[in-house]
Amino acid sequence: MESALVITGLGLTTGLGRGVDANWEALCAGRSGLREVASLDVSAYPIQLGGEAPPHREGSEADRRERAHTYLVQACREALSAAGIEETVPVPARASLVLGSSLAAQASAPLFWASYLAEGPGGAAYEHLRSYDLEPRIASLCATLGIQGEALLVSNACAAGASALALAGDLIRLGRTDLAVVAGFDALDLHTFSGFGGINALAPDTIRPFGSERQGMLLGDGFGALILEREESARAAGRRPLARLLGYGESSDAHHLTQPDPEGKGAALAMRRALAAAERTPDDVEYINCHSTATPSNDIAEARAMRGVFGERLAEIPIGASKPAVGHTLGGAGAVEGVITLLTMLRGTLPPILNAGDVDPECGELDLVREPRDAALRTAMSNSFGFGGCNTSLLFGRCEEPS
Amino acid sequence: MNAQVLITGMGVVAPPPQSTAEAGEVALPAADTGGAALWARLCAQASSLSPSPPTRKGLEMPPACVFEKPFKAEKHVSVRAIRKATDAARYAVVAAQRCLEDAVFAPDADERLATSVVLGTCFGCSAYYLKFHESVLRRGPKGANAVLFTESVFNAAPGHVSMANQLHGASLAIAGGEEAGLSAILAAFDRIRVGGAQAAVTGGVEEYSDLVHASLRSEDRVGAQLDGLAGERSGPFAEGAAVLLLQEASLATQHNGLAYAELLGGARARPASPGDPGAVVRAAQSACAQAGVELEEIDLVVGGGGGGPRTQVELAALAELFPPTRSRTVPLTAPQALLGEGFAFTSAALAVVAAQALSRAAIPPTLRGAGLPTPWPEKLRCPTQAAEERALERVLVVATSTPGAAVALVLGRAPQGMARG
Repeated sequence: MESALVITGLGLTTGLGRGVDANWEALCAGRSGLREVASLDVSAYPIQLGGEAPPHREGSEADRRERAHTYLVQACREALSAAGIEETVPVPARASLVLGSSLAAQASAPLFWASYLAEGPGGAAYEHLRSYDLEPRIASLCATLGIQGEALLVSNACAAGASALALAGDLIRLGRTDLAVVAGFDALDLHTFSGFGGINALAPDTIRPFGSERQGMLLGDGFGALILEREESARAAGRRPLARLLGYGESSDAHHLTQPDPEGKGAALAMRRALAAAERTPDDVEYINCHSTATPSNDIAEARAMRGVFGERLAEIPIGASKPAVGHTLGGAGAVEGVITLLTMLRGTLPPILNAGDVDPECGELDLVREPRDAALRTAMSNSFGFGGCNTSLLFGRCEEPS
Repeated sequence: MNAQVLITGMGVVAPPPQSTAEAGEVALPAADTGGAALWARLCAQASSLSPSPPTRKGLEMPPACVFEKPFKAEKHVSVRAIRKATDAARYAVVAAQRCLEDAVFAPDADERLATSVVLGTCFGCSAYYLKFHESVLRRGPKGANAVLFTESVFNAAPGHVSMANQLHGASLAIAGGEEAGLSAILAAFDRIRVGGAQAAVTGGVEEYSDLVHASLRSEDRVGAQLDGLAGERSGPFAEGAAVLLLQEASLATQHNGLAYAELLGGARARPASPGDPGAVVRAAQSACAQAGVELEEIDLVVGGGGGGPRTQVELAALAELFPPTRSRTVPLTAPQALLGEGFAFTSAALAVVAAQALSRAAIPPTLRGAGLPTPWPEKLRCPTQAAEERALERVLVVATSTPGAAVALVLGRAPQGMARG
């Protein structure tokens, strides 16, 4: 029998703050991390709100570009530290790094174009396009964290952070790595700011999951990190398992590049796969951290998907949504929301959904968590969906102490 | 867990060969969309080096291994959704279709649910991505073109492949450097082995962008001609798609029951420092260990880069892996010397060549170019004249990135009774 996969460390940076504790406190207090964006020049844009992480230092454009890398390193180090792996306790030799990102925080294309428009093709600063190749960034992170095992970056849009955890699970189950540092991340970027604005997916004021008056999303910085390993080896090394990754499921809608399957068939398939992999039934799920981008078609499809899996019992399952507080962190979302789901389980409180108004009748009856609730969860699900028709569902379970 | 995984189909979209002067009697198909055509190209040493497509005014780019004229995907597939897609997605969709046809794999509804798509890429849909930025920078928010934005997501190519074939397994893009195609194949292999899929369309894809080309040239990362392994830099920038169909053996037997090869093991590793061959050594050793194969049993290495620093790193690693104490020499074939530097496309093509070599019992020659680097590893030999007929049992495939990431796969001959002729 396979030894369980466990999470032994968490790290988190979002618009709510730096660090797991700062984020958790703000989530439970019902604070929003969405404010006027300062790190990007969005003055020409009709919507100027975003979930911007607290600046680590004031500085030049070049510093701004590095903020994503800095936050990513911080999140990974926080997770490693929580697992008891710090400078004096090195990363195990067979540790791997698995990243998920939509854009991998490429912020240098505007710099290239600024030089191109000013100097023409002969004088353009082509070095700013080098960040298009993500490998040097992965290499830099591995060097910083001391990782010499496997490293890979999955980029399947807004499901990437969750898919990174799934790929890390594969690596550990196959015995090719003992411990994986898993991180999902994306930083606020002019590309996505203008792109989602261009397809009218951005809300003018706030995010209202499944709400009758929902108008879309707002974007946010998101850097979530988790340490994944075998329970047996974690305990042998003296690391305390925080929770189990019971199962993961992935699927493709194969329907449209940006629109979900209207019935949510692909999303439901991912959830069923996660349950099957965990050898659990829908009745075991006690909480769902949903993806909810609060766009009209996505939320209806997601509600239908959940109803397809959980049936009428869906109305009894508390539904959480993190995006109203931190924004849509794109490739970071799966990891950020995975961390929040785990905190919900570990700390015994369901954080409230900000701005949870009336539920759209087309979404059916949903138990949105509107105020903080006490709950001793044993099993919780976190769902992430993205462009390309990608769906990833993660199922977490409480970690029982060994008998 | 640890299912037996076979390579049952392959599809390649590569720019057509420009010169058949050395082709001899080898027939070169006009439309280079299959593994056989790639093999013929390698044997004939016919490259696709051609003038780069028209670029922006004032931006002169040297020749590259690219489609001189736009690739007509609609000649090969009738998929409406790719009309507005980027070149990368179009190459991937055509290569995937060719791959499924090659495997005679027409999955039923249940099998489509269990078939994943995992494609590697370094530059994604860079042409659209950069055009989108240009438009926004020039015109502000009004320049935010919806098609350029949505079609430029990194996973557009696997998304289109999933849609075109109604495949409902995971649809993933593995982003990386030159090794990304081989890394994606390994991720797909892993997914099948852990029981997360029964089949996977997997490989690598890259598209040409004049600006990316200019960027690569500015850091001397790609060359302007095919200099072979002794060249000071990698070959010219290349575009295309190389795709394999991996199937769990039990599924393959329910279809045409034939395979090019079996995937036995694989691994990745990071270097301790740039230029350290240790990552290749560890990846190869780990892949062999996973495969249950001793290095002494390796009959062929497919890798070696296409010249430049990465070739030096790979050769140093191969010298360590196959030391002078080894009982016999091992041949190396380096397809990238002819195909150019196509990043994820060409690293995935290494696996295509390895599978072809196993099924054909032959080793394709490496483009001689400027000759072989010196010093040359004592126990390595590199046929450069013509294809060598040779029964092969185990093939090691290696790919590295410029910063030194290494991926290794071990392929074995297809099980008895299933081998494609």
